[in-house]
Amino acid sequence: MDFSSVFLNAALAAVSPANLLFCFLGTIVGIVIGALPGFTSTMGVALFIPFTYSMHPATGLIFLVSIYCSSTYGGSISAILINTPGTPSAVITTIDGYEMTKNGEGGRALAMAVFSSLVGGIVSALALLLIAPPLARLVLLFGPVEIFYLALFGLSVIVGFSKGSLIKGLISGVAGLLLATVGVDGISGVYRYTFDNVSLFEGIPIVPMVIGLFSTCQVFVLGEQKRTTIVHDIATFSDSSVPRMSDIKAHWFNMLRSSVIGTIVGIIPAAGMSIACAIAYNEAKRVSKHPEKFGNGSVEGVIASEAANNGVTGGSLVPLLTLGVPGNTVSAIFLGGLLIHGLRPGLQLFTKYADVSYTLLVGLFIANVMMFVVGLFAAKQVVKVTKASTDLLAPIIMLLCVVGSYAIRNNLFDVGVMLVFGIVGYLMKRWGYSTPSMILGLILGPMAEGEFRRALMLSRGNWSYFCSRPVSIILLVLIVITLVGPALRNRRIMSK
Amino acid sequence: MKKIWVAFVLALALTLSVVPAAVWAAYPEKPVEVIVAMQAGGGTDVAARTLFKFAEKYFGQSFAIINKPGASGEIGWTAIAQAKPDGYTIGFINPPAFLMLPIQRPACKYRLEDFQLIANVVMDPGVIGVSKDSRFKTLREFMAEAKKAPKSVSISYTGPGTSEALLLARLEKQEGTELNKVPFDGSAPGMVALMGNHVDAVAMNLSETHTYVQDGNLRLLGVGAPGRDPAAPDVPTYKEEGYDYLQVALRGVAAPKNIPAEALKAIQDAIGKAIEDPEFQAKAAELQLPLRYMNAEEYTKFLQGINKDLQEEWKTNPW
Repeated sequence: MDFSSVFLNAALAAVSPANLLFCFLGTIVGIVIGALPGFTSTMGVALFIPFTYSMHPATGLIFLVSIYCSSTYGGSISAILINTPGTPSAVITTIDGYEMTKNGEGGRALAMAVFSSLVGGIVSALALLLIAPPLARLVLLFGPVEIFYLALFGLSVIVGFSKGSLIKGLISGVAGLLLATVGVDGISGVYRYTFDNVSLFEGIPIVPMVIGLFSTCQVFVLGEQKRTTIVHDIATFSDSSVPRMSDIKAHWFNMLRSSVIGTIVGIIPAAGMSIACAIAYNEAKRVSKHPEKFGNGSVEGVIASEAANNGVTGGSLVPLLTLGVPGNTVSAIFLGGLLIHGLRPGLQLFTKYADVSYTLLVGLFIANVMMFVVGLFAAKQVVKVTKASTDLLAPIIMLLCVVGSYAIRNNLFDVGVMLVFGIVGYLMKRWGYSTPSMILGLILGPMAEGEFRRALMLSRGNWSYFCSRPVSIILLVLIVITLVGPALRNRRIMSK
Repeated sequence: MKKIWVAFVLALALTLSVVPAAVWAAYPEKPVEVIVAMQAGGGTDVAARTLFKFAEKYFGQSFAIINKPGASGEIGWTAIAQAKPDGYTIGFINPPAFLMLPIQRPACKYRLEDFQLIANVVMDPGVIGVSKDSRFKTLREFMAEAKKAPKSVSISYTGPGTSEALLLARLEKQEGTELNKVPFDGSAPGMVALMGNHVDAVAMNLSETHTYVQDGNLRLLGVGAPGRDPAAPDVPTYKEEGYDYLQVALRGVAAPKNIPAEALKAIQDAIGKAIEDPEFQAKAAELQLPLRYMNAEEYTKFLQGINKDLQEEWKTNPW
């Protein structure tokens, strides 16, 4: 059988009623899981793997892929509307998304989030379908040195995040880096700042901390504010949540660029969504005609972040399907899903199991379209939340905070972490420090540290190891541009 | 009159509470909770969920999997040790990590003695592999080169405190040299480092190697099983290469000690029958789970042996 007939059969199989039904169910499940703080994509896919046991392999995998894609998008809904990122990957979406909501543009932000997610998903699915094997070779170019530089690149974005004081942004980022040192050190096995508390052995848990810094903090903010709705002025509120042609026309390049960044970062094992969003956001800001709007409700920021995190979805499946190496935690769980259905990743997947594999790939496209359609309908309804009374909203968010932080590993300690960081987040916000920078520091800190130390071990004391390959040199140049660029630009503007 | 009634009710209540529960209903009369000390969706979790789904058939009650991940398993395993020994809470354990934690960390709140072992399910030997076109043809060659200059050959492994760390420490000690041991978070990134030629070798588990070997990205130099493994019959054991060490990752079932004998027997039998079930065996093969059943008695003896070995090792050559 030649490729086109295999593909055609797969496409026909993918649109069978059962597959479409489970794609639809997976999308709804995914959006809900994504939107709820504390329930991450990883958890969503893990939770539903047992449900796929008795399904046909293609159906089961399409179900899981739908959950993966739509939960990645779902995180943006709560990020935009109530400033509480549903998944850690939506942290960067809150920066501009929530500002837009406050300005009465929540509907527009949601519409562009779902459209950008669609573009991100489709671009990464195309990459997976058409050029997966050559892309997989990209994985091998990224050794410890290169991943270390990538983490540094992500961290350098903190400079771009800071609204107002750069110093406060940096302090927040460094505080995140310092908090990241807590836990058992993976390189030497030393227990760092764990105070003999088993709950701290794996470090400060990221999900409860994100919930605290954003969601719990948001409860305090809502309780404190004088107006009774999230939106500033109910008269300016527009609940139109259909993507506008003018937005798409003006920002199509941003969408594509961010999707490609997301896809590439997704392919690199251990990199993850946060770093993809950070880099895409930074690039969007760097080339934007209105960089000053970033942080104050720029639709470009929402587009960059959402296109990038859905770009990661297809990207992270590239090394999994071609080399058997998962690109991130969700695809690691996805590997379990493949194995349960008797599919072994690697070259065989596209020969021996071609029927299931190509059905899955076609399913990925359908899942993204399904996500877009369901997302649009959902947006129209959920956007009304911003008109709801905060007296009602605040306790509901608080309830979700407690449930979400407990559920991640059934540990009451994590609820405490959530509460502490709720207060920390509130104070940070009050004094003008940047909570997204802190999260970025916490997520990228261990990655930068671990890879740097691995690179040191492999260098055997020879510094040239750190700039001996083309990829590492390119990344170094990019970091320098990111750090020095804004300063140069400011000087130019000032001298004019 | 009232007082007599009260006394009567109290006496009745006392009698009832003393009579063993077995009089009322045979074990198991409600679902049994299974604590899995690893994250939902990971290899251990999938193995546990698959096993207990089949074991339910022979048990007459359902098993409810509860994930208590964290601290490399210590949180979940401590929870098993401290659970009420009524036969309704059991758990999944991963030796030798399960045995190594209390040895390397005196503050660890459980010991092997706190458990009633029920059965072993999986035995997955460790392996050392290199890329296909590597200059190393045998494990002996690999170690010989390492002997020439300490830290001259690099190997990726999953970090301190693991069975791989123990094996590498033993190899180093025997040859009186040092390897450049580079810890990675899991075997997948370690494998990527090998494929990208960033390291010379990789230490991982046999069950994880299937795809890599088949696609020609990995060549195995040695396996830590007691004898040649049917999944890789061409690969010599460490012992054949002159390194007499057993390195196997186990997955088994344990309960807090002093559970009722009937509960122990019921669970052990259900697991034993599940492992015999051809449908489960097919599923396990798909999931790349090398099955190796041991009953409570054999398993206890086996782990006690390893535990003693580990304690000795820790005194002279901490991993």
